[in-house]
Amino acid sequence: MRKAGMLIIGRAFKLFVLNPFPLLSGLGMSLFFLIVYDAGLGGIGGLPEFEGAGYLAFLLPMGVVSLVFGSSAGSAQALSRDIASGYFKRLALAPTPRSAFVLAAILADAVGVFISSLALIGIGFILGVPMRNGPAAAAIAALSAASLATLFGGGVSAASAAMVMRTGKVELAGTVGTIVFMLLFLAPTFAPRELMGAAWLRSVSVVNPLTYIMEAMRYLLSGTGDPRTVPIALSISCAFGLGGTLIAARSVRNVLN
Amino acid sequence: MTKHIIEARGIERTYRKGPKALKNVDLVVKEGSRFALLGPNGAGKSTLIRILCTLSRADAGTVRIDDIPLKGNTVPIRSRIGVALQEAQIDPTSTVRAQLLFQGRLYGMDTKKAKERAADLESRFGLNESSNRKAKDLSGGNLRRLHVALALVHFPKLLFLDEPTVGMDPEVRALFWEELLRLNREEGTSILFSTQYLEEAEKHAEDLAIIDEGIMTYRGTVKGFIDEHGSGILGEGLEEGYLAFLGKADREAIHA
Repeated sequence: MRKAGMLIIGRAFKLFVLNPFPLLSGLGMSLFFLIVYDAGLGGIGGLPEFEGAGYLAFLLPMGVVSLVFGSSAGSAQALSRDIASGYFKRLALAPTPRSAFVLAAILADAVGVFISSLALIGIGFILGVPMRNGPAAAAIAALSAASLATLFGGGVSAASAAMVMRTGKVELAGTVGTIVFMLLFLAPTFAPRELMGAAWLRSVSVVNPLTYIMEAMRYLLSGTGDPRTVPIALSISCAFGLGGTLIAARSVRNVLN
Repeated sequence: MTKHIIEARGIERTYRKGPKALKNVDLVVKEGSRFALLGPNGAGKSTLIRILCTLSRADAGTVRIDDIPLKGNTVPIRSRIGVALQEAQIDPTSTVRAQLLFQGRLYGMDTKKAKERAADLESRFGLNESSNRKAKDLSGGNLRRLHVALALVHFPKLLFLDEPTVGMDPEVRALFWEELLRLNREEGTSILFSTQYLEEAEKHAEDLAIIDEGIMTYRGTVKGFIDEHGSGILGEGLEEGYLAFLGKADREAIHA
C-alpha cells in the first residue's frame, strides 16, 4: 500500500511539473504586485509605523499570500481533469485508500507554494528587503515564512479541491482563491492597522485570518510588528491546512456516488 | 459445493433526486462462470455493478465478493476485481504503455513484471502500434481496447464489464470476446457483464439475470431461460425470449 501511495504522489508531482503554468503565473503576478505597489506607494515606507524596514519589506508578505491563491488551484484542476476524463474512477478502483489521490494532489500544490514562496522571498531580498541579522538568519526567516505560507496554501488548495468534488463544477476551482484575494484587501496589506482610515476596516481586519498571517510573516522576515502574531498565524494556518485536507479527503465519495 | 464469487442480498439504492434504482435485489454468481446482466436502459444494471465493484454504496443489503464482506474490506476486494465501466476511465494525456505500466505498479507489480504484462496486453488487444501514443490520439475502437486491457492488468479473479463492447467494430468485438473466453477458460476468471447485445449474452454467458425498474425479474441459466421463454411468434432464442419476457412483465405490471 505504501508503494501505491508513493506512485500516486509521484503521478501528482509529474502532473504538477508538466503543468507549471499556474505556479509560474502566480509567481509572476506576485512579483508584479510587489514591484508596482512599491513603485507607487513606496514613499510611505518612511513613516514611523513601518518601523524603519522599508515599504518593500512591508509588502513582501502580500506577495507571498498572493502566490497562495495563484498557485493553489493546481490540485483542483488536476482532480477536475481526472474526474472529467473518468480516470478518477479508475484510480478509485485501485487497492489503496481513495483519499490518497486527493492528498497527493494537495501535497504537490503545497510543495509548489513552498518553492515559489522561497523564490519570491529570495527575490525580495535581492530587490532590497533588509536581511535582518545576516544571511543565515534571513534564510531561516525565509524558510519559516514559506512554511507558514505552505500550511495556509495547502488549506486553500484542499478547500478548492473539496469545492470541485462536492459540487462537481470545475469552474468553481478558483472560488476559494478569489475569497482569499478579497480577504487580502480587508487586511493590513498596504499599510499597518494603525494607519487604516475607516473604523469598520480596522474591525474587519481584527477578525480576518490574513491579518495575522501577514503580520507574522512581517515579524519573521523583518522583525517588525508584534511577535504574538506568530503563534496565532501558525494556529490559523494549521487549522486551515488540516481542516481543508480533511474535508477534501471526505469529499471523494461525492465524485463517485 | 459450488463457491460463489459474488453473493449479494437485499440490495437497495435510491438516488437523491430520483426513483428507487434497486429494490431488494439478490444476486449470486458462481466462481469461474460467465454471467450476463440484462435489462432495459435505466433498469439498474449499472447501479448494481457500481455497488458490487465498490464505487457506490448501497442503502441496504449485504455483499460478499470472493467470500469477503464488502463492508470494511473495499481495499482487499479491489485487488481481486477488474472493472470496465460504460464510460471510458482513461487518462487522455498519458500513453498506452505508460497507463498499462502505471496500472500494473499500482496493483503491486514490480517494474519488470509490469512492463512484461503491459507488452503482453498490448499484443493481446492489438495495441502494439499504439503503444507510445497518447490516449487522446487513439481511435474509438482502440480506446475501448485500452479501457478493457487496463481492467485486466492485475490478473483479477472477477471482472465487471458494463456494456463493454459498445462502440467496438465487429473485428475488435471478436478479439475482445476471444480474450475474455480464454481468460475464463484458462485462468478461471469469473466474468459479470451487462449488455444490450443479446446475441453476446446468448453466445458467451452461462447464467443471466434480468433487472427491470430496479427489480430482479429473472435469475437462471441462459439455456433454462431460452427453454422457458425463448420460443414464440417472434422466433426462437434469447432475444425473442427476452422481448417476450419484458412484454409479459410490462403487461403484468399494468394489470397489477
